[in-house]
Amino acid sequence: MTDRPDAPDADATAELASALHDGEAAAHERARADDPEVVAAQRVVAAIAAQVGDVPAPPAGLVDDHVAAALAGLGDGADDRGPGVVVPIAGRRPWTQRLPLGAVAAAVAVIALVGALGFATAGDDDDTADDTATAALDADEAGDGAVAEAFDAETGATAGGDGGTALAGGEREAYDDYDELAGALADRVDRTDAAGGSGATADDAVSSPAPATEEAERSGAAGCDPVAAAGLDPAEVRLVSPVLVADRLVTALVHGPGDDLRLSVVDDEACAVVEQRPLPR
Amino acid sequence: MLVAAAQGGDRAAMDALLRRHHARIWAVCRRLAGNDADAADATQEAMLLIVRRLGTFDGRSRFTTWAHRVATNACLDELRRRNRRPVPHADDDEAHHGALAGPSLDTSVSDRLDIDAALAAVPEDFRVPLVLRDVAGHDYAEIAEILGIPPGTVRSRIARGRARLAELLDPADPGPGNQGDAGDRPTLRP
Repeated sequence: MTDRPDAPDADATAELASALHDGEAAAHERARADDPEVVAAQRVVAAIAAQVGDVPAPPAGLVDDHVAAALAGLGDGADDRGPGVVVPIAGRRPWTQRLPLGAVAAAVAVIALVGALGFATAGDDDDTADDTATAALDADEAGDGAVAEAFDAETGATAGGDGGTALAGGEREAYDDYDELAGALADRVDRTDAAGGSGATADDAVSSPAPATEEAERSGAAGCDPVAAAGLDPAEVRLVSPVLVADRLVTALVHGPGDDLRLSVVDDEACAVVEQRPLPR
Repeated sequence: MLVAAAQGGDRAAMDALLRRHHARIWAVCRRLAGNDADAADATQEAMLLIVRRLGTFDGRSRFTTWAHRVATNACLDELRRRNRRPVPHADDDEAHHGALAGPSLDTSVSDRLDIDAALAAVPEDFRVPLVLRDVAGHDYAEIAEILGIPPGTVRSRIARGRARLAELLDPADPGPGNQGDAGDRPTLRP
């Protein structure tokens, strides 16, 4: 458009014709609407616009496929969920920054106690852990699941947990999308690895398959074992965390094998995997 | 209100909302992608993102504007992820690029293939606002909001995109309904 001596005028005419066609020309510009050059250019603009706007229809059935796939992201129970769960920005802060010091200390004590008694060998030990945790934490917090909380409490203690607001009942960490969730969990797993040498108890807690199931039951996913729903080997599950992703109740599972960690996300209501991807390093 | 109901988790409302906007989102993605297969995948990704991000819609803009912003970005991201440019039609040879005369008014299948090829050769900065105008029917202010650029820039980019298309679409090609003397056809150049 700019390689001819008359290019500036031509460009101006073309832009005016384009704006006139779109009904976006200013009042003083519309005075040129009857200029033969502008009229001719408008005719071209109209022809081009018609061709651009003449889009082939989508293949039959595409809308049904697309809507069904998009709705699958809502989970089967979306109708009954009511208004979306609103989680304040503070809710995005790591749990390590929100747990009261007393709760952190109590949780660490619980972990130590559970470790001493042999965490995975006796159901009575689990009850003991729950009772102790309930005494130390808010009852609803304990209901959110011993495994993730024990893990977070442990890392919070390591980081010197600076206190904060205790979690309300049923409150989960909220993420906008799976990218954000994966990044956050990758950080946690890294911290776990870094602390792994210092405490077999915490490591046991996050990798034990039995608490994984308990976690799912306590987080409100009654009847749904996310580990089973994801078809995972319980021994390879490294972390179970009930969270909100785009206001959707899900359980995030970080799992092996080995160091080849992956993230699987199970919709709590649909009890089905909705996302699987490698965990970023 | 449909959007509010969908935001509240009403599945039927979400279904209706998606169906209401599917055709236009498909059309935008189809024009940006240049072929049905990529457009289908891009539209799917756009619909998923709309569902996932619906909670962030705060009503400050029209829902259609918001949805098309999400869809346009999703479509472009999907196409970039595939590292594909829209595939020009085989007839899009160099001779076409020198044409200055305007296109015929015919909109046959042959011309639709040509428009895909021509659009593929238009820079993305011009192509996207052009598609949002001529396919989605947004005004310049809405396109400016969707793309995050000033309305004046939208206006000039659309005009330049159309001028580029006028150069690329070859009126000398005697396709169906495209016969006649090219010299009689209008051009964007006076």
